[in-house]
Amino acid sequence: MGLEASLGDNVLTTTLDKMINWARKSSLWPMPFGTACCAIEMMATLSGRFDMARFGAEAVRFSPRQSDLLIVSGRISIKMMPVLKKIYDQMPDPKWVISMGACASSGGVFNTYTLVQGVDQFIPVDVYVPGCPPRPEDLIYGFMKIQEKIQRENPTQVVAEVGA
Amino acid sequence: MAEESAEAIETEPAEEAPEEIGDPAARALKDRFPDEVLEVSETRGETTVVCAKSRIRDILTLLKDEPRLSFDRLSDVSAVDYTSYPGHEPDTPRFNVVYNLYSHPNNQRLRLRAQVTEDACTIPSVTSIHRGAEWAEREVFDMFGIRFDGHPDLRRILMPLNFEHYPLRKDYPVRGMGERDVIAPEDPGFLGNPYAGEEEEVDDPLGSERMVLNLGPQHPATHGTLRLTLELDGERIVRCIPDIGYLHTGFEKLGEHHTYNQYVTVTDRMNYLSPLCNNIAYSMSVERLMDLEVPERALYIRTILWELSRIADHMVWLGTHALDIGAFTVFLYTFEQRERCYNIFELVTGARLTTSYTRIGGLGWDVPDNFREVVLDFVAQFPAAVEEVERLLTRNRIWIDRTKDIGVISAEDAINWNMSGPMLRGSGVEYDIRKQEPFLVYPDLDFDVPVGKHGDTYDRYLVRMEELRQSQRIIEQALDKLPDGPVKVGDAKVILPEKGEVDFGMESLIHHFKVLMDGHGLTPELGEAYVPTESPNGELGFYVVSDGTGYAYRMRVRSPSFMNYQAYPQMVNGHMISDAIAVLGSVNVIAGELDR
Amino acid sequence: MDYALESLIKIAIVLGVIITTVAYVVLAERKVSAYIQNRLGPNRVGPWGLLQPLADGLKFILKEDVIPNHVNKAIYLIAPAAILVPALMGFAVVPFGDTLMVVGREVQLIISDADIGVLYILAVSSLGVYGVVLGGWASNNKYALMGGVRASAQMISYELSLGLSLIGVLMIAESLKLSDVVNLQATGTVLGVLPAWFVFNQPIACLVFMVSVFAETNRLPFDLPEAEQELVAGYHAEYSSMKFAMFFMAEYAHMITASALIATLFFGGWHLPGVDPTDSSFALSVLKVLVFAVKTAFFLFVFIWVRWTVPRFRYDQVMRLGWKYLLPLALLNVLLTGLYLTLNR
Repeated sequence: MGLEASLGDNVLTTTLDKMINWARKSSLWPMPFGTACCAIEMMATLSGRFDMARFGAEAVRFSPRQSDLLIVSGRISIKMMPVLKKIYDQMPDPKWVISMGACASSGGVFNTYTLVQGVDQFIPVDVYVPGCPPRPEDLIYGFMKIQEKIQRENPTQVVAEVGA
Repeated sequence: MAEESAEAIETEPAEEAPEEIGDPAARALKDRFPDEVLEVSETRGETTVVCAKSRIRDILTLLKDEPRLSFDRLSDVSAVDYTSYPGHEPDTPRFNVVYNLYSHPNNQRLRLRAQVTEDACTIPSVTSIHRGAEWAEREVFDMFGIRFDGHPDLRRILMPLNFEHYPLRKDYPVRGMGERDVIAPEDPGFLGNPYAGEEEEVDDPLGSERMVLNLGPQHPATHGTLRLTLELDGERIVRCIPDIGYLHTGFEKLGEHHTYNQYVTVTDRMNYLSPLCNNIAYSMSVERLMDLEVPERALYIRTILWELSRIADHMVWLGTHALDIGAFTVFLYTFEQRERCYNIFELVTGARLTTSYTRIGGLGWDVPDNFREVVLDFVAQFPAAVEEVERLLTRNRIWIDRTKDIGVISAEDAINWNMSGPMLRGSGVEYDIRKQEPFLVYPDLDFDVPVGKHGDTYDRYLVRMEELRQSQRIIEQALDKLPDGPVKVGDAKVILPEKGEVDFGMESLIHHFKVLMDGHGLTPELGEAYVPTESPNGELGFYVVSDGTGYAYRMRVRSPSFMNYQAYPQMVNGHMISDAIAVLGSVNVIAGELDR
Repeated sequence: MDYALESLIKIAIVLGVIITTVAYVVLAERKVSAYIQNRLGPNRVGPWGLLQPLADGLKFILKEDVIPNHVNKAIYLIAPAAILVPALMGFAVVPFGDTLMVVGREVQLIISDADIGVLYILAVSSLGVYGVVLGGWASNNKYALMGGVRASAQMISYELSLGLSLIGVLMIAESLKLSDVVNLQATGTVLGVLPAWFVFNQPIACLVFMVSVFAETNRLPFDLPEAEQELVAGYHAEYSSMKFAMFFMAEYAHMITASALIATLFFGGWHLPGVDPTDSSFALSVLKVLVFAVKTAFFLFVFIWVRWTVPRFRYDQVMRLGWKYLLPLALLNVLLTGLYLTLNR
């Protein structure tokens, strides 16, 4: 409490916030959890025409420990959900999650016995990208929404609170 | 006791034996197994033999070994739960296990249905005759709870091991019984360990330790959701157990709860590399069920789109296959071509990937005016792109070293394992459904079927590369011959009338209502139909059973990935991990189609 | 004292330059691969994406540092340093220019012109394998372990060819000092027209050395220890945040040292044909440093170019290439060089 009060919202912390946020949003390395159709569109997003690399986000890391952004793209069955949960847990903070497409967000057209009706029941989701599957432009838009969200965060404030 | 009474019931319908059996195979069966063969029907060009389950092994052995018949490929095993089928009596057997056979020498198909009662829910396994039945039988067990006696490895295949129900039984609700809401992610057993309870000592004179490596389901080379449990001696694979079902979506169950036209939308999402092929293959099965004659223009457009889909599909296969072996750049080159295919699909269907373009009885709408130019533009620049990739790979020393003599499967094994498509042709079997059992307008078009010699990964690569060129030939010819005319059948009872007519014409309005009303419009007669097609991966077909309503009674998808993938352990045993990845790429498993 | 100060300044400058170069080689790799693949590559972060490395670095520093429970903690923590330090140390004996007059002092543009320069390089490069193996082993993860095992086998095998390929050069140079090797290349010609670079009079050695260096740096087609499609991330699969970044940097630092070595040993180092090697005016000295930088950059480009063009070898194929082709080739080279020298005595 004391630390937070002493730090407050001054020029130093806000500038630092800005810098940290800028670094984080400019270097979002994705962990692609691609299962179905959306994964194909995610590949398209990474390929030449749309090129996620422009945002510095083509450095796909398949080891969750080295990634910042989990893109859940595709349907998640009840057999797969524990795996997804584990991968989410293995990612180091700070981490963000995009739920790409209708199936990951809500089960989509598959209201069946085996599909999880929205991964947000089990892991937190930052941005939902609608579509079945979303076009690559949609995914890029969702990605930029994550960047906006990061830009609004106050990392120094969090440190101060934790420290107190 | 229960067994005996079931037998007694089963023999009853045999009394009303059919007068004349045209199909030689069915006739031979009737002669040799008069007590077991209960019913023979020949409708819509398909022969179905209903039989008792007790001697199913003998029946399949006869069908396979008799030179005159030689049904050497068991193309599919599935089942139907007849509980709520019209005319089903409580005391008749509840299940039918359906065997779909194909004879390569005679180019003939035969369907067998063996009756299984609920009380004695077992049937002899036929894996000793057709190894390719292994996974299909496991799936039937998983989905219906029918046990297969003598099956080498009868475990659940698609659902988690601790799942308690049989989802495709009619009494199981499509939305489940709450399993999807109360998953306990911390339950380690849920992941299903194929080695659970199996701590056997490995006989190893050198005393070297073996390592069990779990590959997947989230692994860069599995492109989605495959899981392999590898037992390794150093880098060499001693044993490989694939675990699938991580993308099981319930397609077959959904088919029973969607009207025929609604289900087109769902089929898009099965093989997401070539959704149009799914649309078309599905529509063809229902059209056969309803005896619909699709106009020629629609057939030509379907053919062009089918081959474009093959190109788009092979492009992803090629890209990911190369990516798996380390050539990342190829992946991006091929995706560029795929984007060009997307342009055409988007132009025609309005969507890049989930096209939903066909309707039962034709197409949703006609192609736009500039379709011809756009497709011609694409085929004009396409050969250069293929050549570019070939320059990077085909004679590249590393590529050849990595793929030659890797994952070899002989022609005989390939048939026995029920492979199809480029996998089968890579082994030297010249079987292409477009030639052998022609559909769409393939008989009118001139193209070659490339076959390999050695059945290794390199040959499969060459076969697919040649198919790309042949597809281009087919597209060019079909565009030249593309006739004018309607793209849907004229039958107003089946096809929705044009929107403009509905707004101003009484009759059209009535038809519009009727087509959409339950129990009217698209309501095929009782019966079943299966149309095999040559999808980019192999034999794709929808086995549809109708109960006379607007919904399918049973929707079985015979998907090529599921059948092709089961021989994978045999193909990689003794190889190294890197080879396993290379072979996986050449099988081109599409998880959506694999797990359905 | 002066010598110590001079060395310290040189070390600081060289380290600074290498670390910065590492950052920009990463960016260059992303950019070059993008151009090879008809893409744009990073271009949003700063002008032409030039601030991308800064953002990546800052992000890594600020990321949660996960140390899994199941690792061998001490070794797990040492491994990233154990791989990055040798990668940087190699540069100590590489002459990045001739001499430069600074405030009236003639400064040799090399941190330490050790008499056993070549030996030192071989020794230091052998140390690099420890970081990989220890990292893979300490992670207590099967993929990491396999990456580590692959790395140890591969790097030890190729070290042999690496060392043997240099013997031919040393036989001609008759010195282990790298500045001597460069000076020799700067004088005389081969066949009257070509500069006396060792690539021209030791072509076999050059080939063997370059292939071995690719294997030593774990770059495609020899990137088996981390082969993404097979071992996910290989030996560094369990590392996160800055420790992972250190592995990442080590790979590129390795590449820079290797490129500098190729340039020095076989392509004349700072020597530019037509420029008088003995002239040590300020402008020419700077030019020599630039020539060296350009040559190094070119080989860095080759590293990147190859990576995005060819597929990956298999483990046994890598071994076969190393032991059955490169090693005999290197031995043959020693034999041929010996014969040549004896006949021309």
